[in-house]
Amino acid sequence: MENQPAIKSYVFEKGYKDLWNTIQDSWKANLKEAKQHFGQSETTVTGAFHLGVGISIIVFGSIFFGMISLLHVSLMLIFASIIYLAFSIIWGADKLYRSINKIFTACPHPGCYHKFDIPIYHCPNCNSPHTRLHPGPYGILSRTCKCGANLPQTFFNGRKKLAASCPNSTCGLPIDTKESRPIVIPIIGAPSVGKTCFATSLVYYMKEELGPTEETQFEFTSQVSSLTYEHNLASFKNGGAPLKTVEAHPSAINIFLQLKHQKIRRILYLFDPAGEAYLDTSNTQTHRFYDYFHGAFFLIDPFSIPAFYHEYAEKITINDVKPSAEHLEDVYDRVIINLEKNYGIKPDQKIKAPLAIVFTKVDVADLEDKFGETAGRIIQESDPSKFKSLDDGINEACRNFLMDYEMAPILNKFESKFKNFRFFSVSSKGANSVRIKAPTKWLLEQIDASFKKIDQD
Amino acid sequence: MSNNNREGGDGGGAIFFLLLIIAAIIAVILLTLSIGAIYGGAKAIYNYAIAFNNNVALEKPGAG
Repeated sequence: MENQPAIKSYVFEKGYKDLWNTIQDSWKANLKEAKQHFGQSETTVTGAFHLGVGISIIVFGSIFFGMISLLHVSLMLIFASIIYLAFSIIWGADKLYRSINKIFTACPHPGCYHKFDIPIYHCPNCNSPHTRLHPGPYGILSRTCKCGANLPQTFFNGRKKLAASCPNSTCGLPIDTKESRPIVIPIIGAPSVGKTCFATSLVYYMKEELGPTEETQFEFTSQVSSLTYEHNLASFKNGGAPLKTVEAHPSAINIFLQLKHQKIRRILYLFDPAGEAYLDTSNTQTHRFYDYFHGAFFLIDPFSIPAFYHEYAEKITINDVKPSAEHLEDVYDRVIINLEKNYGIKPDQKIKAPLAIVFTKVDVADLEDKFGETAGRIIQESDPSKFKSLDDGINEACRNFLMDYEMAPILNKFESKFKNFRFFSVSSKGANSVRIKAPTKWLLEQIDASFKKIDQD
Repeated sequence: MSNNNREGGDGGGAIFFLLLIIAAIIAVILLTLSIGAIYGGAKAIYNYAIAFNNNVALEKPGAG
């Protein structure tokens, strides 16, 4: 085990050294005294007395020394066994707690994204890094840093309140997860499909509509996430849109989210990489969050579908709509190749993580009639027993849209690769978004069933 | 009827005296062994206590 900047528990090191030294010193003291008496033995009464004393020390002293040593060793072993048992139980409980509640650490920083059991915790007094702050050789419930500060070591006595950093040696940046349960969601899509608009609108929904309720607590984990969001939202308020994302390796937008009935706080990781990252598999192989993601948004710009674009090319203003030039099947294929090549997904294996497939730009032209509310209502009213809600209708409308515009192959790919997916259509405009709630709520509920209680109509 | 009590002169007394001497010697030996055991044992306990006190001390923070 890696050495820690802390004092080892007595029964893990010093106790045994003290035991051995005590036995050694005691034996040597007995021998020394016996030799002194033997040195004074002569053929006189006094000399005979010293001889007798020396013999007594050797014979009876050794017997008593043996008994005391055995007693000391036994007491030490009994005490150590109790300590080992206690720390094993607490260590096991800590690990079990994290396992049951699906708590782990994911680094949100660009280019890292490593996953760990627990982060490096830092001493609040001297900032020393403690890489294994859990019950063990340095203590059961707490440990003493070499500077003298007392550090909690378990989930129930305050470990999460300590400053933490990423254990990856090439990263080492601060992490603010506070041992919350991560929900990791990448937003996938080609350039100009509207990922950043969608991410900003999604956060707006959670912050402004979900957050203020008594049922939900919403909090950005860091100023970086908060400032990024505010900056993007301001673009909408000014009548524009957020600037194009340029980072192929983005920071996660981190949000603490906790419903009233949830015992463990959730931490949402929203990854919004630049669309250019999906133009080449070499860019996405460093997106390690695909190793542990819980669900994903796959955004589709309807104008990236050739047959549809040709039909609407003269009805739209290209500069306003900014259609995505990348073919959506290519983007999808690259993501799947990356998952199969680098993250252990077998070619014939279906992915369990739910996928919310979101058609963007539904506010353009008459797209609401194609796969939006109008189309959804028509389908719902045609068979209310099968399509129980507007969302069911929109889901079917999106499927029909893909079929109608020669995109049956991508539909087949979704069905062959994902166990759980659903279609949505949105307009992402910050505070003026349309139907952002549906894909957000659906995906969160699929990932974490406790979210089914939120915002119940 | 024999009168063996008066024959052999003072031989019985000598044997009794010898027995006393042997008993005394055994008593001295036992006393010496006891004293030796108590002294040797006490010395061993005392030396162990001193060694325990010298060695068993918790490391103080910042002491390196």
